[in-house]
Amino acid sequence: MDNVLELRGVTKQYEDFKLDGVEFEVPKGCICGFIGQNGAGKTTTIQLILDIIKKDAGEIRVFGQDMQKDGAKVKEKIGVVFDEMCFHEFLTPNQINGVMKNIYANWQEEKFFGYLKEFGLPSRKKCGSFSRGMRMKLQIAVALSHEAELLVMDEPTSGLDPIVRNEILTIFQEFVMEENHTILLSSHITTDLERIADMIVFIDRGHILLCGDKNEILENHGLMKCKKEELSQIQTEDMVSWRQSEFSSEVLVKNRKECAQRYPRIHMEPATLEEIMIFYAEYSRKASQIVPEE
Amino acid sequence: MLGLIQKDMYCLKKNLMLFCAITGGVILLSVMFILSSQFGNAAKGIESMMIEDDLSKEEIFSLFQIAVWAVLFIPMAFTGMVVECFKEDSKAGFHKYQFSLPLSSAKIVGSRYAACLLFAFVSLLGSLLAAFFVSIVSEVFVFGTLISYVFTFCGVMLIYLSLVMFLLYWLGTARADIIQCAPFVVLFLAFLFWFLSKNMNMSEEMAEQMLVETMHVLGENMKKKGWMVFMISLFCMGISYLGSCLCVMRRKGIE
Repeated sequence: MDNVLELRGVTKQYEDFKLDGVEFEVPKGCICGFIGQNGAGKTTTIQLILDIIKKDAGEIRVFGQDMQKDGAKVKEKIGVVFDEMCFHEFLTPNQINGVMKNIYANWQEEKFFGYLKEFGLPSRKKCGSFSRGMRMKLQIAVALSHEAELLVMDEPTSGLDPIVRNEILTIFQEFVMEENHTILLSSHITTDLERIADMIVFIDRGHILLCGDKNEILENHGLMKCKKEELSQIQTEDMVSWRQSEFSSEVLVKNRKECAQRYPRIHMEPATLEEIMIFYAEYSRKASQIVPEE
Repeated sequence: MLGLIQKDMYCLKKNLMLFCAITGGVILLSVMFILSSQFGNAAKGIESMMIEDDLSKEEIFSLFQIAVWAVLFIPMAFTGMVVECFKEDSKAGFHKYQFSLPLSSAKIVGSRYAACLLFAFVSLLGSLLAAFFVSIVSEVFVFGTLISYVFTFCGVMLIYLSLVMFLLYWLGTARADIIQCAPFVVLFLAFLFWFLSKNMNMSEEMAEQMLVETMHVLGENMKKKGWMVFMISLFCMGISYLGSCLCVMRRKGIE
């Protein structure tokens, strides 16, 4: 399968944070969920992909091309949505249309106004008066109106009510129905990604901890709930991480079926993406944990 | 690139309306005084209101001259408004978003400089028009002299903007207010240092005379070599553009 996005050894150093050797690939036609807690490095990674900031090391290829060399050409095919609207508040959608049609070679004015109508956005009203959901929809309308093949979105559903979130996620699902359309979507709202993502990349403290097919990840990982004294029975090779309360323990394992057979007396249930994220984050804080297989 | 210039125009639309209103008011007032100085109506009225031994005709005439300079200078000030575009971009987050657009760094920077030169050209036209109008309604001011002054003012403004825009690309908009004032402060300090070094052992009268002579020489040069200042300013804009492109390619000032 062709990869739309490839990151190899991407590194970016800040004073108090380092994105260290980030590597992952996004195949064509899939929705890749990029998850991590606040400050994990999601936005930094996305800004590096879009060439908004410069990397210190590594390689980023989009549609097989180096972003630093052929960035302007490649960006024609990338639609971008950020968590905060980046258009000036005094601009109206009409004016944004005027600006964008002079920037994008493939700008489709009719499509843009079609989306405005579909999303219920007034074309002559200033963006500053839009609600958060409307601002997000405006960004999506812009991103979808220039024949983009890759949508890169940084927490597009953050701060939205469930109804608007549902509408927006449906739009994303419709977008990838076309064969050559791909989405990279960063979020810390794991329920959204459980609903629509095909693959998951989990980043924590500037490192990729988990990367793979969403269904496989959910299928393979399980949450074992046991008493404190039963914890010692579980082999460390099976554990990703654990947490203990006063009377009980929870253990995330990465081979659910095998562990269910190995520890038949311990209660096992499927882990949600949120639980997987929490336990992997715990793992990264515990220096003594084993490195999970990729 | 045209899209970004268009966006900058929208940025300044609000300021432009205010600017046009102020300019219109100043022009109207200036025309009234200049016409009156020719035909004597308002001047007579003002003369009748003058307090004895307070304002003389010569001082009133100086005020007329100041009004003329205001008419010439205000359009130049419009060019400086391009700095507002940086602030508005930063406020909206557009200064990061623009790098996700299918435009090279050179085009992104170039659009801002193109907008600046467009504003300068429009303001230059406005000032030349005002100068032409003043020269035909008043015998005091010669069109050729006024043109030279206009080009000098425009050139000085462009040199100032060359420095400011480069610093904004290098240091970011967080320090925009300091960056805008810095050239004036540096110039003032340089002039003060030069003046004091020349006047260490001079009396107050001699120092004042030297200052007057310096201003006179400056005025004469502005009268005769305005075109030279303007050409130097275009060269400075070119150098500033190259420096800004380098900063943007290294993503200085936006992280």
